[in-house]
Amino acid sequence: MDYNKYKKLIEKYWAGETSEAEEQWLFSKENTFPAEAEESKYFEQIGQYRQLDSGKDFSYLFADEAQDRQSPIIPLFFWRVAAVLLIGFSLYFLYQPMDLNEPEAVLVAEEDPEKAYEVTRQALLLISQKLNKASELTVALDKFEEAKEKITIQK
Amino acid sequence: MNAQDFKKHILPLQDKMYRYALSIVFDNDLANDIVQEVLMKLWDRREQLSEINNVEAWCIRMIRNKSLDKLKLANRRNVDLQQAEQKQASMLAPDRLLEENDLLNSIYDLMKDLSEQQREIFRLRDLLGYSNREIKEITGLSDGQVKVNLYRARQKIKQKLGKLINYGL
Repeated sequence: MDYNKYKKLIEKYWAGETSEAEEQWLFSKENTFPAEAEESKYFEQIGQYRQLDSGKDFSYLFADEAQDRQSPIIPLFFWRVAAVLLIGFSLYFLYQPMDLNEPEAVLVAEEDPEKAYEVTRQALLLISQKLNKASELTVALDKFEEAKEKITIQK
Repeated sequence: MNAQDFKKHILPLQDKMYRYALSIVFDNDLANDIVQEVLMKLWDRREQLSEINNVEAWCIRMIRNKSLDKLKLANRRNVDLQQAEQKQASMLAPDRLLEENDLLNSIYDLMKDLSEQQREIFRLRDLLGYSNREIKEITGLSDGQVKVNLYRARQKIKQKLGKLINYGL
């Protein structure tokens, strides 16, 4: 490109009318004219800036596709199953004590009233036998107490 | 967007993202930190990226927001280039870094008298090579606003270069 064309292109640039391709050409290092040293330097610097790179490779930060496919699915599935199990166990243990505390007699009474009556009668009989035994022991204890008092008086 | 698509479409934008961040913060390390943070954020949201029309414009906007946040956080609106230069010199930086620093110095000087909108258009058009249509998408400005700001930015830079030639300022 001759100098006159270059000069026109520069004017076009300052007017903000150049195309991207023309700007690309202007910013290229080879296209400089000593007569326009300061402007050429400016264009060269812009060209240099466009070539800058970060000097770092960040690709190691990102997992490969195989990991990418697995990672979002397995944990999500795992957490869903864990949540369902947790709710299930909570409900089971919440209602379990109520079943255990329910009296056996009530269950038996609901099933067979005669059997319930028999079980109650036997239970009361057992209590009365135990009470009789206890009253016999109380009489013996009274005798022991009386003997103990007599000995104490004699002394 | 899966990992393969991410590597294919997002990772190649890394250098462009770096240049853009650098043109805002004027600090190599900080620019790299910004790019890394934005890439990590994009990676975490990669499944939503396929729903976005123009991912590149989205990335550039994220870099802009992150850069401005960092500047705000560090309270360093206009980074002290002298300080950055000293820091790099004391670390016996390689030639590439020193050259890059000189270049940054020049670019910073050219941009410092522009308004924020002019600066933004100059960054996107001249430093990153985006077309006016793409700039429109990134900034949300109208076609007319992009053209006017580009014209004014270049005129100011031309005047500055004129002063350099005439008075050696």
